[in-house]
Amino acid sequence: MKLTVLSGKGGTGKTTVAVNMALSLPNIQLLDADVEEPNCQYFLKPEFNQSEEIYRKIPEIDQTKCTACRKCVDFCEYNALAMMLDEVLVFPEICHSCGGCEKICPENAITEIDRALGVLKHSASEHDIDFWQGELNIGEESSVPVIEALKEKMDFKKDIIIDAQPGTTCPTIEAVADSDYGILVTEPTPFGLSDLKIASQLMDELKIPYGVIINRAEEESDHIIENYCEKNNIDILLKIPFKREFAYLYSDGIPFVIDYPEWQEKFKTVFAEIRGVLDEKNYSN
Amino acid sequence: MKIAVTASNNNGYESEVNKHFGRSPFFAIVDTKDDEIDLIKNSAAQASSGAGVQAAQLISDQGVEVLLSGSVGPKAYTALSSGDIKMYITKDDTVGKAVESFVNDELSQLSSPNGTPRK
Repeated sequence: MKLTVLSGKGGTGKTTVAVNMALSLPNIQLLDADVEEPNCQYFLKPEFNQSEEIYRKIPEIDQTKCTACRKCVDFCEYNALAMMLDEVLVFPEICHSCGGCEKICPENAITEIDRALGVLKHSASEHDIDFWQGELNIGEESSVPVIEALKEKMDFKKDIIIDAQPGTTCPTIEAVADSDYGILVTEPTPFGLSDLKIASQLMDELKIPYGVIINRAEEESDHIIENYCEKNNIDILLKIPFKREFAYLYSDGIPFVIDYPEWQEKFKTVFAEIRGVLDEKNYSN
Repeated sequence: MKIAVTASNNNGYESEVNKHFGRSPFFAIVDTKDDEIDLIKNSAAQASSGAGVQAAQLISDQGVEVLLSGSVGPKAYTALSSGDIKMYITKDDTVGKAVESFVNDELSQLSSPNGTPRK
């Protein structure tokens, strides 16, 4: 089973859910796809034993072959190419690696070269979780190729949990796009609801089943989320309460299921519920 | 020679100087030969990325040799330097005053980018 943990709003508790869930279940592979700022590591404290550089292609111009025709400059949608004094300048940071300029050059003056984009790190941490972390190099514009590379590490003999980037843009979509189920983590506030709506619309568009976990739940405010979920037939899988003790543990980088093992049972129940939803879906298909 | 000045509006020499280069709404192109002024719209203003690069391409294609602005970001700086376009900082409020300050040698030249990219 492939589960992606996402949110609309940042800071709702995706990593909290992903990590604590992973620690509650056997046979888990955890992928940290929040490659701009992977945070699972602060709770798992992994010893990375493997690392793999990820590259993307950028153009290199042979100025001796270039006739300054400007076809490449005019073609590039991202302004990664400019012509100054009859020489083509390349701006690698904003190049989207589409490969178009190389194809369009009539003089074969453009070749593609590698540019370091990020790195994948692996650890089979002492918690017995097969853990891969993706990291995007500072200054790079797009997380998507790193997430694509990370997903190639998926081990289908395990149950896979993917911790996605906050929001609902390309990197989140790349992380969730071929998952079996999405766990949408939210908080019971107007902002939480506003962004939850966007995330749930995304999941509807992708036609992927999903459920909600309310983090920092409080009796006075949960209705903000519960009303929306009820009206839209969205399952609320779990409510994690707003507890000072959980916050202390979090700030010390300790997953709360370690100190509160009864919560491992709750995550196991959530997992079984999700499995039930998917079995039903497969059965009725 | 042709001088470009970043402008916030289209009002000839009375146009307000725009503080930044890449997404400046207009460029005032002044020909010192005959004092002719042309206000052109900056197509780069809505670019999702590389606005500075596109803006540099735009003024370079106009044959501009000197740029007067409040700030120039890193990619624009690279592009303009490669095009041998000299950049000067102006705090003047109108295009006319900025050009006058330049001609009177009162402006300092940029030797490195001083602007941060913005969207």
